[in-house]
Amino acid sequence: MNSFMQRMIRVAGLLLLFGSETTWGQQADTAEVYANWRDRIAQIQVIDRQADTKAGLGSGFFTGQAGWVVTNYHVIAELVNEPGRYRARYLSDSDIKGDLELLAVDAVHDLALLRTDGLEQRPLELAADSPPKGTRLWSLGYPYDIGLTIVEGTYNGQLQKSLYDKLHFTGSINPGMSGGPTLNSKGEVVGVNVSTAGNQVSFLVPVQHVAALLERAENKAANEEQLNREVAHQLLENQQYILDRLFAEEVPLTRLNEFSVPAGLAPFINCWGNSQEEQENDLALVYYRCQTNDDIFLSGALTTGIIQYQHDLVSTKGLGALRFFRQLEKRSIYPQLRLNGDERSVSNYECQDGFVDQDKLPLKVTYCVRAYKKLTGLYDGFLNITSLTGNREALQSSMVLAGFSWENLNLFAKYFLKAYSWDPTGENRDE
Amino acid sequence: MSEATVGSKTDSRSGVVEILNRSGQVLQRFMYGGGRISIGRAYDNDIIIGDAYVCPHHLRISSEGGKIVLEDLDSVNGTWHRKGRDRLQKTELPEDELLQFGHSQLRFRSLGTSVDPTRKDTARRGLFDMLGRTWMLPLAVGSCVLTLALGNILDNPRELSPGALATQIDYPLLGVMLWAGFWSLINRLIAHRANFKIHLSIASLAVVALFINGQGIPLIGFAFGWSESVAWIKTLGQILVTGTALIIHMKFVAHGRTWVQALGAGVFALIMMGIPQYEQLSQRSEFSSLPKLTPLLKPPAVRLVNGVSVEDFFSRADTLRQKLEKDAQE
Repeated sequence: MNSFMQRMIRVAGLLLLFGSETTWGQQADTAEVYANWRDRIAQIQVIDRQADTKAGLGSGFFTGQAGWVVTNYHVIAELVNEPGRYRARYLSDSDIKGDLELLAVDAVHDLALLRTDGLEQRPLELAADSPPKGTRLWSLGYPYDIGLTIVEGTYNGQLQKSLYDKLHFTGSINPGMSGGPTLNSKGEVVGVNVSTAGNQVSFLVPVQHVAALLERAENKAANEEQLNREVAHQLLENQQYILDRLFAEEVPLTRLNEFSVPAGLAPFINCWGNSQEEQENDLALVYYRCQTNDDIFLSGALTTGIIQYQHDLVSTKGLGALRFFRQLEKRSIYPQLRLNGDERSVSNYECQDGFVDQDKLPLKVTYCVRAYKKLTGLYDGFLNITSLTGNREALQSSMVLAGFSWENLNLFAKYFLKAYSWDPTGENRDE
Repeated sequence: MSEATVGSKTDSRSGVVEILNRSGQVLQRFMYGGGRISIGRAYDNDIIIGDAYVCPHHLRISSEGGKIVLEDLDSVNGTWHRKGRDRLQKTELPEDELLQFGHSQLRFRSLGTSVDPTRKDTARRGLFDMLGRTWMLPLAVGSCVLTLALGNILDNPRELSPGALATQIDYPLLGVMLWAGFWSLINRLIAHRANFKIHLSIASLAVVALFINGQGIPLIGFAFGWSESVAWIKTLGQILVTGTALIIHMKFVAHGRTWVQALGAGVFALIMMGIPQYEQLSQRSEFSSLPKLTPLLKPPAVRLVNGVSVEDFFSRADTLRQKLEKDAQE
């Protein structure tokens, strides 16, 4: 190479350096972000011990102390539930493989902290503040096991109708990217990839929860019992947090003909409704359904932290009383609201039923509960309510609660049921 | 079966000659008063046997020296002790012993042979008598058809045309007919009478009783708020109805001892109704992520008890917690 050429390359290098320094404060190039931080990201593999192969995949990033890796709880949930069956492994960008140990979890915010068996990459820094809406961000991870990928997108602020704070990222986060970081132009972590609603509507766990997890974590592996105790404690705190927010205000009500029933109990509970007529069956239905959208993933078989309820106003023109109530019986056998769960995680339901007279409204009520097996002190509840007021019209409600303490389960069920009232004369109804 | 007198004069060893078929059923009885009588297929015999394996002149019975003697007349298929291997030629006729000739049997009974005490004909009294009346069959089958139709209408939210309703009930009706046919066949085999109409009436009435049990118990359970025990009471009702129907069927088939019939019917009813129901109820202990609900919802007017307050209802919930703890320990 002649001296002219060498001089030209040096100039180009300086330009590049200048250009990149300019972009730190201004506009970073996606290729640069990728090149600069790619070695801080790893693929997280959950390995079935017997098959000795991948049973689940996600992403993670180095942060905090040496060898610490943060990912989503849902990526490594099987390590908490069945540590004898699964183990975790990382695969770095430079194809280094190694084992991971679980140090701490935050099941409510879907975070987990792991430690490598020796690989110590430089940690990513956590952003101190949320960026302004519209800021360009870059999400990194291993979608569909096809290698490390960078996705450019836009920060769109915090979700408004969410129980837990979540960030709205407009960019395509795909399966396998869960647990990967979303970075600002300085390479600081703004949030952790967690979920997507499709069409570039994606969600991040705010980095403050990562900071909190790093702060309370100890640099030693946690065993199954400690982890389950920790998760149970987090869920119990969480349900108390939910109920404190619910009980802080009067029960908002909605009217379904002669009945007044609980409506959207809080901003984080979404409600919608519609009506339909089943001409063939001579049944007309007006329904009102509400649910939280902040379910907590505990394992492939169990999701918790759920409040769902629905009110169905069922009526008929042509069916006699016996036939009409037979149809109501059938509707009750297979409830539309249902919680998941398998034999290892929850018990069977135990039920009681009876007649309840609530504020002159005669009701037939069935109440069922089940207990969590590993997460001691947590229960799920199911409430089924049918009005006994007329032969041609009935209100059928059901409600499910997942992951509540015994006391709070009963407290909420009572709070819900006591909100019902009946006004057959129409005197107290607004026109 | 017929009875007649044969023989020339009364002998000190008089008695009755019984002709039986292969399965031991008595076909004919003849008074034997002494003298000589011939038995065979030919019409010039004293006792004529309609059995192709019997010779025209097969054997002879006579009185010799104060004894009654049987003599085989060189028949093709011979005369035998039923369990013996020796062909009889001429021998003293034993009392109460079956002798085989052709495909028929012969037994000599003395006049002093004891007979079973007279049995009461329960099948011709009360309900059993009614089952045989001509009006019972249309009444029972009609009620059964109405019951099946009503069951379908109650269970179906759509308006059913007569054709659709007929389609819904034809299979259950066919089942009732087959059931009655099965019992008629048994009746025919054992008692040589089919009694099909009676068995059809019994089966039809059982369907009506099962319907009343299936609809009535939940209504009562709802009225008094006993929904948790309704499934068991219904099962008990089903077993009782089925068991009773079986006993009545058996009464027409054979005159056995009532307690033996009741025991047999009970066991059969338990197998038929109890085991499937038990399996269904015991599946409730298998794991399910859904609450296993058997809701009882009837029109408000059926309710006969007052409801409790919300507080009182949830005060019972501690029992549920105790059950969950007990389940966890198990």
